Amino acid sequence: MAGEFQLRREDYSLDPEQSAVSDSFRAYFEKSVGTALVRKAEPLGFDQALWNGLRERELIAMALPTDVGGDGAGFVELALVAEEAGRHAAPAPIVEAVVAARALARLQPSGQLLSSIRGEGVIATIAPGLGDRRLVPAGAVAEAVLARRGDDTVLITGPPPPLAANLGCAPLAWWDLTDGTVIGTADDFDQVEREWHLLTAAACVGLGQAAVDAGVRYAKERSAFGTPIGAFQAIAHPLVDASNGIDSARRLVWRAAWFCDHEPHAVGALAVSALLAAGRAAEAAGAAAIHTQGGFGFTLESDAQLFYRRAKGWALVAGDRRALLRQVAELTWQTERAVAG
Amino acid sequence: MNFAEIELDDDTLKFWDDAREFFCEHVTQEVLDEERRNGGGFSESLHLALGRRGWVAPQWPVEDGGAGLDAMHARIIAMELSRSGAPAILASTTLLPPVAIRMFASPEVQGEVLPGVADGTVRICLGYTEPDCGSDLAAVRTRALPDGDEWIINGQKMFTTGAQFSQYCFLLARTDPDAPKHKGLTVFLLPLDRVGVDIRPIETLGGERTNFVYLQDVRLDDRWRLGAVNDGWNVVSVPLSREHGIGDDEVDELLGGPYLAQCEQLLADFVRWMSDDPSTSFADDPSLRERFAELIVDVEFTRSAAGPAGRILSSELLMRTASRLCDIIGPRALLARGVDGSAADGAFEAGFRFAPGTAIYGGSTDIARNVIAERFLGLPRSTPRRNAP
Repeated sequence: MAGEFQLRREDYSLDPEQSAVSDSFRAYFEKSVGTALVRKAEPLGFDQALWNGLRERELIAMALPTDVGGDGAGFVELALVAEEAGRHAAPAPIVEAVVAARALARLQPSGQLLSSIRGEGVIATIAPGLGDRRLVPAGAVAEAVLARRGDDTVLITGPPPPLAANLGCAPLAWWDLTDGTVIGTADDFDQVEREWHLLTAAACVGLGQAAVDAGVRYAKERSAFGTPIGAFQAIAHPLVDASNGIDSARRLVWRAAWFCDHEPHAVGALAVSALLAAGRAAEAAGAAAIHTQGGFGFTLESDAQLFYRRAKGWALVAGDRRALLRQVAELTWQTERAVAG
Repeated sequence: MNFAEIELDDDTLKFWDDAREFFCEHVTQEVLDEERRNGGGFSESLHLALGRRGWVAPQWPVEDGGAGLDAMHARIIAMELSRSGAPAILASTTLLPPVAIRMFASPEVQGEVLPGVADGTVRICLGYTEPDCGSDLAAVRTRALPDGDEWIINGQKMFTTGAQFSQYCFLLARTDPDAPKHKGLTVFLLPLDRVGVDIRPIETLGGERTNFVYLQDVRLDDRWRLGAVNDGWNVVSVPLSREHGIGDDEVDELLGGPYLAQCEQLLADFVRWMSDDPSTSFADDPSLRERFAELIVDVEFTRSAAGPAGRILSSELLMRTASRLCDIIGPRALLARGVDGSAADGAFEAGFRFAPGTAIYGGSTDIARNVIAERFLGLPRSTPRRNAP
């Protein structure tokens, strides 16, 4: 970087269209996903009526490229949608379904599955990691799974296995991935995974923002020792740190999303870094919100725990942190060496 | 949203090339060695050379002694300055008071001071902090008493970095001890060659030298007063908000925070050391790769921070990075510069010592947190409001 004569713009502002997408989904989730619904959907983490509502809003079509009749939404837009879903802990496999449908549009554009997804609301998902038997995100509600196996990307279909109950109340399930149809190369899965990392990161940003908001709200309302507790730096500063973390993670997600849209060859480790950073920031925000609320924060009545559990749960489904870190190292070491000279 | 490469025309590329050559020529090994030895945060030869090009204040109009550059060309100079590793603390503090000088000083005083700022012959240090007041600036005790057309100043300033190379001190003094704290202050531009000014060094953990400035019966003509008597709080607010990274037009410059470049430098030192060291293999050690990646993720995360958040995050990143690199490298990271076997010639040892100061000077990270808590999160004020009616 320092050695070359190169300057990049650093414009993080949303254009009116992007703001409109964000506003519209925020309003939609605000109206349709209260925390009562989130609790009701536990432990599966799926609400059929919400999923039907999202189908009516043509969520999948929005995310598909125009050459298969979609709206060709960009990644920045999709990240904004995922963030708003996260902000309400929406019990719907938005990220997995969007990423899997986009992959099918690339690899099997005229296949039956893609049309079932669009026509009947069938859910397809993706399986990160390695091995014959894997813990699959959205696997307990999906009827099709895309996975990397050896040198291939394969498609496995079947009825969803039972829920593997988990910390984040996500619809996880164990899938046997031995019996699949080859639909692409292992390299094709790189993009699938990258898109999934990025949108999961965006969802984590939403979770974290909701936790920050809950903490800040409580710190303004609750009084102790004759003053709102937000006036104590021991309360305010951790909330500031949580908020700074979420803001920076959001901007990292946006930057990674912009590169996915405009310079996919230059994304490098940005998407996986975004996931690692956003997962950590969201978890820290959840912990700060719980601590701000004191004893109440530790009860199930508090919403803070909803976000705290999901922050860890959603981020970690992507695979263990160590594997993701090694991926970052592999993607960056050569560049860093070149920079270091 | 846009992160596209900015297309640079031939003139700009030539300008950049020229800027790099300029810093190669003027930031000599001797300049760097001198800074490592004495930590003055300033090189007069470099500063005067910058001044000859109008690059001390590159965005000032040419008729004011600047280079009339746009933001992008100024950014190129800033990047090359940072890349050169040249000491630049005083160069940056010098540019804060002129904002207030333009607003509040008489035309004569402006004419006497500002051309010198632009050509590099005039440097200005910041006389805010005192032994009993740092973050709580309104508690300043240095006293200025009127005496005819003059003022008599007594007191002491601390952490007056660059005073030994400065011609003026941008001085905050108390003129009305009975008024509420914020309301009894006045700002002066104090020429440092006055009788009664005594500059004494303070050595710091990071190797930077800063100063005490003792003021004993210093007589000062009233023309050096900036702004109305007892209106000093408003006068310092302009440069202060810049120093704290909360000015309106500064956002772009502060992306990633002020210490990100130093973190990247330490990482680059680490990568170079790793590549050259036959006893460690990056490829064969997954745990090493993971720890390296943690730092990379941290850097990308911090690069995305803006405004006062960037100030906090980049400072804490620097502390964490320096510490973790020492941990990864082991005892050789502890060896000082010039010692046999020291990793990256002492860069990590120096970085570890340097890092904590960044969370304190220029307004501590806790003050930045207060600002964010109040202004951005809307939390109630945590420090007592003294001037409440």
